[in-house]
Amino acid sequence: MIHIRNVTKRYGTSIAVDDISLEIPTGEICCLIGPSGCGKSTLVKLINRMLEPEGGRILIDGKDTRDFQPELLRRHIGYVIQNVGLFPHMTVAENIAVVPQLLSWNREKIEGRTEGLFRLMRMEPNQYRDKYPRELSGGEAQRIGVARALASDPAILLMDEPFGAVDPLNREALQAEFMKIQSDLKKTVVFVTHDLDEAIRLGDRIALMRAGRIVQYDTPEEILAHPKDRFVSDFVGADRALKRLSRFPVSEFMKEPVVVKVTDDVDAFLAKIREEGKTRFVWLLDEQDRLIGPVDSRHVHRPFNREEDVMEANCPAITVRNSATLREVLSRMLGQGVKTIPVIDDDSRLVGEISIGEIEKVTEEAAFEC
Amino acid sequence: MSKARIISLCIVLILLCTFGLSSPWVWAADREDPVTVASKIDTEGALLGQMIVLMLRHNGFTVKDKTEFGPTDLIRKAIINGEIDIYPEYTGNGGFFFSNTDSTLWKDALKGYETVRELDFKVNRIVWLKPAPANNTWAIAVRKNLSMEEEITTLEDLARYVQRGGAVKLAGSEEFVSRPDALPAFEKAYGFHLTKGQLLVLSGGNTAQTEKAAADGTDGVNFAMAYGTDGSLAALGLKVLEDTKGVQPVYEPAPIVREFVLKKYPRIRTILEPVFTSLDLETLQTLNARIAVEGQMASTVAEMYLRSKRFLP
Amino acid sequence: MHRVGIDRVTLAGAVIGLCSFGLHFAVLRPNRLSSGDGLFVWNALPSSEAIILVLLWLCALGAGLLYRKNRPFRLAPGLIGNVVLVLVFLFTAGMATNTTDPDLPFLRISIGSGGWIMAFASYILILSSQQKLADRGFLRLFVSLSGLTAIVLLLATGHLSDISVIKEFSARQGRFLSELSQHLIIAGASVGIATIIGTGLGVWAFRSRILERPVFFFVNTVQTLPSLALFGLMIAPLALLSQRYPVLRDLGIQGIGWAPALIALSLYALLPITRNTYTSLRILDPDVIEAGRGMGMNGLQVLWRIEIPLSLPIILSGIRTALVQSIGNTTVAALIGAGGLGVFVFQGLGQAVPDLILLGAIPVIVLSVCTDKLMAILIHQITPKGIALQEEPAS
Repeated sequence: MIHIRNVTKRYGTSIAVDDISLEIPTGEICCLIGPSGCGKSTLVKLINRMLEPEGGRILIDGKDTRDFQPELLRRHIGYVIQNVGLFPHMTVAENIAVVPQLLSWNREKIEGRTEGLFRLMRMEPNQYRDKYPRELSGGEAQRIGVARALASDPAILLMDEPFGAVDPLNREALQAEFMKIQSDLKKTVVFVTHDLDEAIRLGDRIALMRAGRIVQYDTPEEILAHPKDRFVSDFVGADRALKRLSRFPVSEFMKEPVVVKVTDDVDAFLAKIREEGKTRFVWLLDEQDRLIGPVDSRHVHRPFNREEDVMEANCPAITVRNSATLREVLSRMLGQGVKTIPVIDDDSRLVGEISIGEIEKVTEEAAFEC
Repeated sequence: MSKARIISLCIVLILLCTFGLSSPWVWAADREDPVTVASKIDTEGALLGQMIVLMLRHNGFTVKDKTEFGPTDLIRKAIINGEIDIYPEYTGNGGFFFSNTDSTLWKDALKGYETVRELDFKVNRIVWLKPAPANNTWAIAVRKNLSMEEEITTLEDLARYVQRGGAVKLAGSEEFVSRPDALPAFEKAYGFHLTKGQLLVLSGGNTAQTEKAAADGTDGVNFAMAYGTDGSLAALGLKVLEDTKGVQPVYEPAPIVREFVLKKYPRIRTILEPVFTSLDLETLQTLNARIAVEGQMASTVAEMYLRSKRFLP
Repeated sequence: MHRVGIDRVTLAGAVIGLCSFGLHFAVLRPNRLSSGDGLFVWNALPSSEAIILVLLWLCALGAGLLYRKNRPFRLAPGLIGNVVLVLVFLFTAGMATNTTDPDLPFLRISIGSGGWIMAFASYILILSSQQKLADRGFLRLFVSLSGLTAIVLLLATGHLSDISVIKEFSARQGRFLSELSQHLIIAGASVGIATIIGTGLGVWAFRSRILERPVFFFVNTVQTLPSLALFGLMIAPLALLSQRYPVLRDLGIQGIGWAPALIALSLYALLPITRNTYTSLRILDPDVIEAGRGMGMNGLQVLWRIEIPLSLPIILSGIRTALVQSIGNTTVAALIGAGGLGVFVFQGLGQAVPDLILLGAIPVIVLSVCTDKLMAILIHQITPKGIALQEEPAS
């Protein structure tokens, strides 16, 4: 638990952080967001004493940060910055090993930990261990940056626009991976970003800042549903209903699909469905449970003709991955003009289906104020 | 950083620092009131300087050998500042150091010596010991073949040759050509004049260079500024023209010492004066030739001579 | 890529080598003072030796025109170059030993302009092989050094002792060695002092924006002063100091001699070191430093683990420049009584004996080149692998 109590930071006559108090519960991601110059980066740097405040205290698990030597404090707090700052003269493994070495771990422990971190980041250890930072792509470098920050297994992670310098495609992947890691590790994370979508996607709580003060500190749903004032509602934007959808992973809302395999007796199955009348669309799977396409049980030839009756569904526009959010689903539906989208996993196996009705239910739940 | 790198880096730094910081102590090793002997950078200077060094060392002095040190003005400055203690200087140069003297007196060997001894002591507290009876004065040398062809053996012959319209190109230093007691004095006394086209002026030139120019015939040079005791004249095929009218000042080499040092060690005088008074013109020419022409070291030639005359055992 | 083609470097070397036959291979002087007569290869050497040289250069020409990419062709220019290099010295020495004239007891034989250019051309051939053998460590080393090693061995065993410049050396061996060590000490010490002061100045100039201008103005201005002028400027104040405080005199610090030379040379060496220190800090990525601090390194650890390893190669590069420069500049210091190899250069100038000048000049050149190569190797060792190397490893 991080308690920030009445912290102020001044630069000459201007105030960067103005009497801020904030509580960040253990194991949560708190996103700091706001326009440039609002003080979000400064606030983060006050936590690990890269900057010293003029007033106030910061307590970590009840202990005042000023009771520790700054270097000692920082060795137990992970710190990730936008340009990563990997040490160019050290290999990737040596970069990761820096903090453990500062903490005098023995060599086996460090090697084991490095191995584990590579796996966590889903990077092949033997391939990356002896590479130098200049040989890494942007995305790879940032993953190593995160690994390096996690090396000493700190309870707290401070991240200052960590994915800002990465291209959008890689950024999405990094965000997804980070969420996965966080679900395993449950660190207390303070995450600075200027990207609202990122904050909404990742944050358990969002602190919206302006001119050194916190304007609203709430869960993303609350901020989107109940913006406190004009500034907040302008900041989140008029499309906040859509933004909310990115909070909801499709895997939580998809329904059990009605499926038939090619190896089954397709005619008999389709006849049964027609009689029952409960569902109209049936999904046709191949021998390995991979999705081939939808079959409209009402308009099918007898006997069943695969080429004519099935719309091939292996293009990405018609399907959605099980790691996607409802926002993506809605975008597909609107783009393709369909109301039901199949959900597949990484091996193209059908795991569920989602229809517009589920989405409407989600958006209906929030009561918006005028 | 790997350990090997750190170690090699440290070695480099230590070496550099050791050189830098230890040097004063290395060089200050012999500390026992040494006498610093210097000389000019020419052959005869080296020879005489080495004679002084060897004689003093043999007689128990700790000597700092700074022979072949630099040009005249640098070395004068050094002795006046007390940076060096002894060096061989020429009596005739007194006319150069002390400008307000009658130029004719320098043509007399004894008068010149006494004048410069008196003046240098009064002004600079420098003592002139007895000189060698060898006149290393300015002269003009001619290519031997030309000398034989046109029968030029004296400066009078030269004057006649010039007036005849003979081809003349004289190589000389800036000093030689412009100092009133040098070439102009010859011209006035013997009645000839060399035009600019007949002169090749080397700004810092010394006789080795001018003689070489005449020997090679560079740029048509057939006459050269020379010193009376130059050893290379014969080897280069040049002949000195006789100064029958005695125009030039007399330049005899003598050891000059700072009074402070001589007072402390008066026996320097008794050690050095016999050596210098034994050196006459032919001897100096021969010794100089051994160094300049044969390429022997000045200290070797000096030592051989000193032994041959029993100054050294 | 042609399989058989023209190798331009080898061809250039071969052409220059063949042209050198048109210049005097050796010079014969009746004594060390006269200019003497130049002799072409066929006049200077016995016909067997002359033929050997001609054949070698024709082979080099062939290697240049008919280049193939296999190993023999890559080695050939280097081998020919090394052999020619050694033969130039060996044949000249042989000629010197065998030429005697009872009328000319002080006869001197030197390598002439043709001989030097032939040596230079043979070095081009060696370079050509070096380029092509970039991957073969041992062969490359052999090609680079075998000729020079052979010459050094010949020197040491006295086989070259009749060549004029070696005779000058033999006549003053003791003096040569003492001036050589003096030269090294002065040059080394000046760079040592400049390193201590220069790195400090560079760091200072980087940390303080106000100081940056004046610091660089000072070191730049010092560089533009001609060395002799700077030496001269040192004499008066040092003379004054040593008179006022005789203890300085006892330490050897006087207006003349090594003290003014050392001070002036140290001032000269300041610029490359200061500038490189400053630059190395300038190009240090601030994000790297911030990451280091944020991870819990204290100031000393940041310095030792990040700043020094990253800036060291560039600083050492500045020291390398300073060393080579100092070795050259120390030659002039002989004029103010500091000693060093310049003593022979100026004696040679004063006595008009070119071989004596060479006795001073050649070691200075050899020292400069060796120092440069050694420093390049050191820098290569010290540069961390993750940093792009500034230049190729030493050949």
